Amino acid sequence: MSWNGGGGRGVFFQRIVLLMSLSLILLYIAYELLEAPSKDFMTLKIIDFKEENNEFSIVFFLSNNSSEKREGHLILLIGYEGSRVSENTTHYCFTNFKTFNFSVVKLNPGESKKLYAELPLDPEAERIIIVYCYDSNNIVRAEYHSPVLLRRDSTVWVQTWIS
Amino acid sequence: MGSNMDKLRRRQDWGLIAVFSIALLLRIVPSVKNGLPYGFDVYEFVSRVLVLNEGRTVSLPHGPLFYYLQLAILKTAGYDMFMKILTFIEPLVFAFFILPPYFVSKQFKTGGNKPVYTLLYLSVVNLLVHQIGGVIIPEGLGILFYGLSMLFTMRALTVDWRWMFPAMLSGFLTVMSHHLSAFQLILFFSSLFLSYLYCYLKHEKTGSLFRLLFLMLATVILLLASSASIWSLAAEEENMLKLVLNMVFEKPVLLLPIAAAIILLPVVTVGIVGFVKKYGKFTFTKTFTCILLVSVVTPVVLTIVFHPEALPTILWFTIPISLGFLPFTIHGLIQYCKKSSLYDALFFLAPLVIFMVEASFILSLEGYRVLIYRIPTFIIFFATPLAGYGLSCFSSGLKSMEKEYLAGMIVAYFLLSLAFTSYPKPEFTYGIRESISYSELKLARDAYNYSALFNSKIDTDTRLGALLMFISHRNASWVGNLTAWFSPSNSWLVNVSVTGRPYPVENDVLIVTSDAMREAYGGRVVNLVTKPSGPLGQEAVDYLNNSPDIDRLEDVQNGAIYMLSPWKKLNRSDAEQHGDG
Repeated sequence: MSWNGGGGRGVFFQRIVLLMSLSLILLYIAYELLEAPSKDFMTLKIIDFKEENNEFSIVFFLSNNSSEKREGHLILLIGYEGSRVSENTTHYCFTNFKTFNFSVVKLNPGESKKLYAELPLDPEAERIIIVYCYDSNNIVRAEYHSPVLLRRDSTVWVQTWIS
Repeated sequence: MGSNMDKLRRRQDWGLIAVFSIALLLRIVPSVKNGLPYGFDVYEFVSRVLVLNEGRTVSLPHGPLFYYLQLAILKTAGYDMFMKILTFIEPLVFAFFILPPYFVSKQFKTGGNKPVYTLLYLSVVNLLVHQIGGVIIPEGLGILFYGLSMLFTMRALTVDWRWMFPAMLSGFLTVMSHHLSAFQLILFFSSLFLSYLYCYLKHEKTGSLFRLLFLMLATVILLLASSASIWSLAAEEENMLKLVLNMVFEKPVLLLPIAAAIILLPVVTVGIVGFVKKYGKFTFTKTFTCILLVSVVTPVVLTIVFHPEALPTILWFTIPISLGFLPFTIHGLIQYCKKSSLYDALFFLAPLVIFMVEASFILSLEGYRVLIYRIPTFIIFFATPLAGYGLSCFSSGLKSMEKEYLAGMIVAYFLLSLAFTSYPKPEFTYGIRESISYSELKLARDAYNYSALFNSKIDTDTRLGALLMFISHRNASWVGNLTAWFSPSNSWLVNVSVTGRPYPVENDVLIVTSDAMREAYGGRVVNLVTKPSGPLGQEAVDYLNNSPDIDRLEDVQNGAIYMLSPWKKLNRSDAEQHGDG
């Protein structure tokens, strides 16, 4: 029996090249598809802000652009002098903020909610931050005034400064 | 006997179908993975189609054909279906555009050629996967007609001179599709014309060759004239041929090397073919060793010494091409020159020589050097029949089953390396992320809505700027430059990314950032290919998050919108309006 199966030189080589390369590339394609990035995301945006009658009013929009139900905490933080937001690739850290309000908001897949917040005028307040964190296990805060540490991948936040 | 032949033919057909299926799968991967068209250029191009659809005029910088074909699909299918076709169907259609070199390979008269290898290379070579189908761009369409012109010209040279007429037609369609493809085609026909003219004058004064020469010259003139005729569609935007002509007119001294190239090219190409035919000591091992030194070791050492930051990019593209493609191409070229006639050999050698001269010319020009990345796709596309032939010759030189097995396995891994480098990650493209996410589209849409609310401009990079143009149908007031190749944008984001130092933001500008720009994610503020910009550093992000009066208006998890005192301005103007009322 001849090694080339009677098909001439290079036939076995051709079979190996085609079978092996196509199999390897198929594996690569499968791997690429398996590591597809998530299409899910949350959106938080301010759509109106007013300062009148000794109070601030904020209107904001929270959207769940994902295929999963989200249940998370909506936190209203008031920043005073020296307040600071810092971030790295994994966490947000809100330092020197006072928590004004803390509530639970549930959103179905694709659902958006228009929300309102009213705060009394505080002459020492510098900024207002609204945070939505949908992984409550990740809300790390030792004491009322200590920094709030939140995981980036389950948090959205917006802020506005008070004149 | 007959049934054995049928079986063999059927097996070959299945082989071809399997290889082409891989071509289709590789090109559809990013669309399936992201659910959106891959790359950010396509959004800019489609934004022009959307403008045309509204009956407005817009510049069409690459040539009109791509845009009007997309417009026809949009008008026929409607917007939602058009986006689905753009994402999931067009990559598959564009995959068919790789076929002309396969048919060129089938025309080879030399024995032992296996066109399936050419199809395999066309299916898996990273640049071809990326540029033809991986991303939906005018270049993909241009390269189809460029390839058809090559195929028809080959048939004109080998079968019947009348094939030059379809070659002229596809040349014209190349010009209508994509400026750089047209420029390469002009070089292709010019090199053939000069080389065959030299042969005509020196060796063979036949009527058919004279007719071919006349038609080739006519094709070059047609391509130049039709290129010039569509410049008016490009408005202020750049066109490769126009750039080169401008450069020559600005520096008349360049006419000297061009004139020298015109005189020397035919002598050099005919001389090389003659030398290769006479010199008998070419072996694949020698070729492979030379390629290893010239294309792997030398660029890697030079990059480490002069531009260490470019090393990941060089390694990503150079190693697979230099190991899996180049040695077989050079081996194929040598064997083809040896076994075919002078005229057939010149068909490949003359354009390859002029493409190399072009690449060296671009590399030697300060400021234009970075454009070198545009040329390899055309060279590789043109050279795939030679690579396929080289692999065929290599395989027929293997003298035992063990050698065939071992070599087959190694080549298979080379081919895998070519395929998996098709869609480079940002760390291999200087930090530029090509894919787009749904959240970034949402960010661009909301930035446009905010800009209408606050009557403000939008500062973002070229990547998100393309999305902004797309969702706004080119109505957004964007501080940036999408198509100017040489003047960097004077926006806050670009300036801060270059200097690394934030400075006060303007009053009426929305700043749109995404993680793809951030240093922390290995990203970059994309500005121009010709002028490097940097990433958005931690200092700039801290500045945006903590500077008094800079509001963070929106967060989409991997991007945010900032603006200086937006509500104060809005409430003041509201109050003024009420006051007026």
